[in-house]
Amino acid sequence: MTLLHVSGLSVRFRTEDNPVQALSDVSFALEEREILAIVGESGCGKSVTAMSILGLLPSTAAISGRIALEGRDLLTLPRKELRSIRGKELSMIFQEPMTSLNPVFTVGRQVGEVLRHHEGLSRRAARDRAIELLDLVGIPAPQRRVDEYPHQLSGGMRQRVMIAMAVSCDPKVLIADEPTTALDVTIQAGILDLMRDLRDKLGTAILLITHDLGVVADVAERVIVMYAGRKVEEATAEELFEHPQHPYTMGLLAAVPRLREQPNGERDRLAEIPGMVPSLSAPPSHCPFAPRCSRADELTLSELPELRDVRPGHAVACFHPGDERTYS
Amino acid sequence: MGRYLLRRAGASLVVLFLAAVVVFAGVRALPGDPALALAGEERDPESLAAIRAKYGLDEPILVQFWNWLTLALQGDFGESIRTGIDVTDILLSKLPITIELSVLSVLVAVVLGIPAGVLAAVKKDTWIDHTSSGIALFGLSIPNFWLGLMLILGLAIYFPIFPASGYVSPLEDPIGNLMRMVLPAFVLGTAFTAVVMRQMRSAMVESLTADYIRTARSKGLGEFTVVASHAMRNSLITVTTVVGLQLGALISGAVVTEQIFVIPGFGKLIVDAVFQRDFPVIQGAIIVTTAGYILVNFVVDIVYSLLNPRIRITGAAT
Ligand SMILES: Nc1ncnc2c1ncn2[C@@H]1O[C@H](COP(=O)(O)OP(=O)(O)OP(=O)(O)O)[C@@H](O)[C@H]1O
Ligand SMILES: [Mg+2]
Repeated sequence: MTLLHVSGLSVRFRTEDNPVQALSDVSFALEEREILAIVGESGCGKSVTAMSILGLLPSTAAISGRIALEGRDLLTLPRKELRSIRGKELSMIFQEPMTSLNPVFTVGRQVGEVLRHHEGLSRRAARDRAIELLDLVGIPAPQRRVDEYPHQLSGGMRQRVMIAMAVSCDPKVLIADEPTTALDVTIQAGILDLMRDLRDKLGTAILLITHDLGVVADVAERVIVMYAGRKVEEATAEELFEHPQHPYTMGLLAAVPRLREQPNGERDRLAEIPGMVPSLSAPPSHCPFAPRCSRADELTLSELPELRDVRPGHAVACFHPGDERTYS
Repeated sequence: MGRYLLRRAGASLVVLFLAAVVVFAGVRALPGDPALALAGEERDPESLAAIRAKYGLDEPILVQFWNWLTLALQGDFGESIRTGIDVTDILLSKLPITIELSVLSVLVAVVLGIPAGVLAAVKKDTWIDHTSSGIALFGLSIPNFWLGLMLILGLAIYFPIFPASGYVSPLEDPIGNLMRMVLPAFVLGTAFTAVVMRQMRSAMVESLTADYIRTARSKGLGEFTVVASHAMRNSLITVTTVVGLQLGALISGAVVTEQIFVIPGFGKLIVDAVFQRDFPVIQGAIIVTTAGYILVNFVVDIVYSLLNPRIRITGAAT
């Protein structure tokens, strides 16, 4: 069943000079117990997507479209009701574990605060529950840690605290915006395992935002690829890795470092996608990827490709989809 | 934390000693011979010498300093060379008055400045922000004596709501005391209010853009909790330090304010003593003021570390 349904989401920021069209007509659905990944280069609108779902965008943002959580449109919900959903049914963890916790409050208080606010627990009960939650997210000696301050914890531990806080009210949807980007590689795997575990144990659906296809391959079941504020491809993870259709997706896959050696003994050269991301203040009326694409032709440079299914359950917005061999 | 406090206490003693040196030397550098001032009509060398001998003014300056310091350390600041009254007694009778005035004006500054700063930050770039920042700038630039005179004119003479000047002890007449303190505390607190407001505003503007505020909002907390609990607690840490540093300015402000409102506190005592070249009184008053300043800073430091777990837990200095 669909939990979260985003349709036709567009976001435009007013700025000092030109307005920025951060998102254009983005649609997707998050199913129950699913881990859905959103990937794309920096600036393609991943965080803006997450922030619009939680209603955390600044007032300079003009949002249109529909974001439905079990049928309730979050964009038109009164603020008070939205607040009763945030942190309870819909929660979020952020990219920066070092600064996302308040430095002046103990970990226990910050985790307990959610429980006291949404579930009306007493101070004591919230603290006891916080200890259980810290234990659940794999923090050793939770009895002691609960009274510590964020600066006494490592980045990985802080991210676990953020996760404990996010799942404390047993939310339906957890949005994780680059949860491992700021962490050491050795710690990343642990955090990803934890999120998958929590999904299995608590049944929380996860919207995982990342620019790292390695992370996607590790945990995601379905993937959305974004480019310049648009969704350009969507498929199951397996399908996407096996049969990428959009040249941009292929570029991303080629840019993933691999330790495999070539037959001639040389390491794979990391392929870069040539060119620059288009400016979002003057979005082109043609395929936004065209200037960087080797397949670009007149059609690509004059019209905007619509999303269409090219294989079962595999949609792409490209005039010349398909893998390298079938194309050339 | 204990070690930190000990180190701070040691540093404070050094500062106090240096202050004593500066004050002693400074007072001696004042133009005008106290013996001459005291002698009045009889200016023959003999009576002048007698006066100098009586007050130890004929000894070498280092000896004078040593004598004064050893006695001062025992709480004995000598006698006023004008009235012959024990300086320690004078100081003790004036001190509570100035403390009351200072505490009241800090109270004014905190009660007005903190909410105004928070409001300006929350309503950043709106007319509320511009208005309160404008008032703060006005409050900072307005001279104490002028504000004092205007308030006396307006609220004591034209609309006689408050007494124009004078002082009664709160023990004798608490209401009368408070009525007489309202205007001076407001005058002395004005610039301070402006400083607190501006500091609070900029600290809050910064806190409100912090990542942990986004986290607090994502937890579903109401805007009041986000501002009053998550943002303010962090801002107060910064503001406490700045405010502590500003307390020094309060002391010099008190000198002027006490003159205007004829309040017999420390400020008035120092000014009168300087005009009369009453060395022991000047020295005693300034040393006690300095000690008070150091003590206040010490307390501010402790409050700061209590507010800031980073220092409280690790005991790291500064
Ligand atoms: N408050 C804002 N005002 C103006 N423009 C904004 C604002 N927030 C985001 N943008 C713009 O929207 C675009 C998308 O930003 P977003 O933060 O969603 O990127 P992202 O995909 O999360 O990138 P990253 O991987 O770097 O986190 C960027 O071009 C950014 O400059
Ligand atoms: Mg981002």
